[in-house]
Amino acid sequence: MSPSRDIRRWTTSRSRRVTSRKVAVSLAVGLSGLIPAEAAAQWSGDVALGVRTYPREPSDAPAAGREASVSLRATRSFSWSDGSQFLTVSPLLRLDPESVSRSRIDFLDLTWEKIWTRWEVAAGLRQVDWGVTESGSVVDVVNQLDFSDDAPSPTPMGQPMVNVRFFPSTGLFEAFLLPFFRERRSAGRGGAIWSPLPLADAEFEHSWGRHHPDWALRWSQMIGDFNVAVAHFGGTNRQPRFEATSDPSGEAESLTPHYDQIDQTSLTAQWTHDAWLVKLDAVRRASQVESFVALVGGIEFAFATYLSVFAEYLYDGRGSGATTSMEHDVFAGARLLTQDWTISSRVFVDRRNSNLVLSTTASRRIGDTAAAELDGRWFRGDSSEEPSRANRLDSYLALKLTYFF
Amino acid sequence: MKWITVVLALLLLHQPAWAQDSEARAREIIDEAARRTAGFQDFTANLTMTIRDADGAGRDHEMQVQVLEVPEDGQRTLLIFDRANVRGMMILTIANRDGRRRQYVYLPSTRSTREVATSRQSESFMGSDFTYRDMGAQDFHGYTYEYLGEETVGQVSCHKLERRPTDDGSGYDHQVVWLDTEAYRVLRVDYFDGANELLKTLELDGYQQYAGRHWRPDRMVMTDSRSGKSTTLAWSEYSFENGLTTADFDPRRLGRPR
Repeated sequence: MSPSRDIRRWTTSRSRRVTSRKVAVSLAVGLSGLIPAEAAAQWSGDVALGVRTYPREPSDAPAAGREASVSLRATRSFSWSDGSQFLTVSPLLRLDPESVSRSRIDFLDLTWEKIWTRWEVAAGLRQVDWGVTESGSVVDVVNQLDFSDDAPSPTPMGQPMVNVRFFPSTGLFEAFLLPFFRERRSAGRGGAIWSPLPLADAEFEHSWGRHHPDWALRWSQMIGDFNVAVAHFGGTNRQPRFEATSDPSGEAESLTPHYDQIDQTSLTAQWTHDAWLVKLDAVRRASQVESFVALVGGIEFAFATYLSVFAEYLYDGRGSGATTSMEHDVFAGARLLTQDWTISSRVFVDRRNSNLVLSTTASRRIGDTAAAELDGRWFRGDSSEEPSRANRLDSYLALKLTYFF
Repeated sequence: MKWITVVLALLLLHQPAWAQDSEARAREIIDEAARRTAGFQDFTANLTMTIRDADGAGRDHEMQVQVLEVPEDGQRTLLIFDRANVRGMMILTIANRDGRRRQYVYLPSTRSTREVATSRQSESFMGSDFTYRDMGAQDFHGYTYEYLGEETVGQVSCHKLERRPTDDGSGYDHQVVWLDTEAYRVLRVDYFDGANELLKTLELDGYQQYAGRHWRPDRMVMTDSRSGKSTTLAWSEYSFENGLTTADFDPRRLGRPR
């Protein structure tokens, strides 16, 4: 399928979202009955107002040149049994007055946990963060991503799971049972697919579809200056593969997201010595369709606690067939933290075609309870050289005002 | 001029008796001070840090501090932030006796913990003139001492000592320390560079005794003599011997409730 400058909005089927929402809500109701009255805590979170403008108007497709949203995130933790059991509730509400499909009610976190000296068990919706590199997240396979969010990069969605953690002296062993699959959210221009074809319903390799029970195992350990982790995931790939479906005359008429069954083994390693960090995220992924290696590796140097610079290389064995657009890229970045400012700047340069993506985020706090953030991304190069699923082609400028409570 | 050379040589070759006395006396005092501050096991406290520039404009940072003493190994310090935009964020610092330091940042929004780089500057506590070592009990290791006599600080009679760091990392040539003669509490420290110029002054006051034996100041003020900048640490709600263990300071388990 040849990439096109056309933009199409892809909205996930609404009924499916409702299903996962139902799961979340019923879980919340069920768990809330277990909370004894002694548990007391406060809500904290933020309310944010965001506007984003895309200077580049695609010529042959309708697309919003501007997007706005109000979002509310809140977190509250309840603990009881002397702190050995607790429940975290972290709902998210986002409202885009002009787009129902970008609006969302969800839980970023909704977890019951029990803690023993060497064991922990958690059940609910939660996020898992495995990768150590600054630029990529090749090893993170547990959570689905939401591309319709206002964030500079797609945000993880809460994944239903049961997670058992065991802490012997030989490291940390974790097992995950992931009973329910959540489809990728790509509403809005942030999730635009660069194809003129309409999008069909998702198809699953396994006949159980989104009810296929996925699983993962992970071992991690700190050995001297090294943090090392090895993990294996088996189940439904969170990244869809798109295939054009043809009508009888051979004309392509729609694009179908396919969710394959994969086996992914990953290695993450970080070496930390004084001001230096050396990082590696590597995976080997095998499916019926393809088998490849992808990795992100690089270094970080901290001039002081508050100024760090990064340089990394991103490799994807699929090359231009990759479903991400970071197959042979050089990454460089810097982050500055001061009393009032957080500024980070990142640049990706594609080694083959010199395409370049520059992004900068500058956030300033206003008093103790508010912050203003300006975020911009700028693409320069030939977009036909990018894979179809490359939302990074779209330059934008965004402003966000956040009130914390 | 020959006799001068001989006298100089003798001075260099043989430490005079008064110097030995001074060192022995200093060692006595320091051993006693170290004995009295040792064994606090763990404590928690609320801390407000205020950094002020010369004309008094300042900004506050509020946090909860939890400190665990690991016998024969060092100290673990956990900072839990409460200000709205960083609420729930934690910084864990694990300092070993050999001087190595590991630092981890926990972000509640993604429930993730990252080990971060520690440069020499990050010995600095939150960008202030304090170090992580200042968060726990006053640390008497890593110096050679000399006794300078008795002197009063405010109305309190004190032992006055000079100390030089045994390794070069501190950034100071030497320090002068005043400990009160009654309970061996540090009341003041002056920091000097190689040209004997005063760089910084640390003043500690409002000492109270906790759990019947641990003396802690309510206020620690570090003043930069040249810039006039100052950092104040105001402590409250001290609580000792809470039964904290290394599991409470395990970088892999920072997400548990506290």
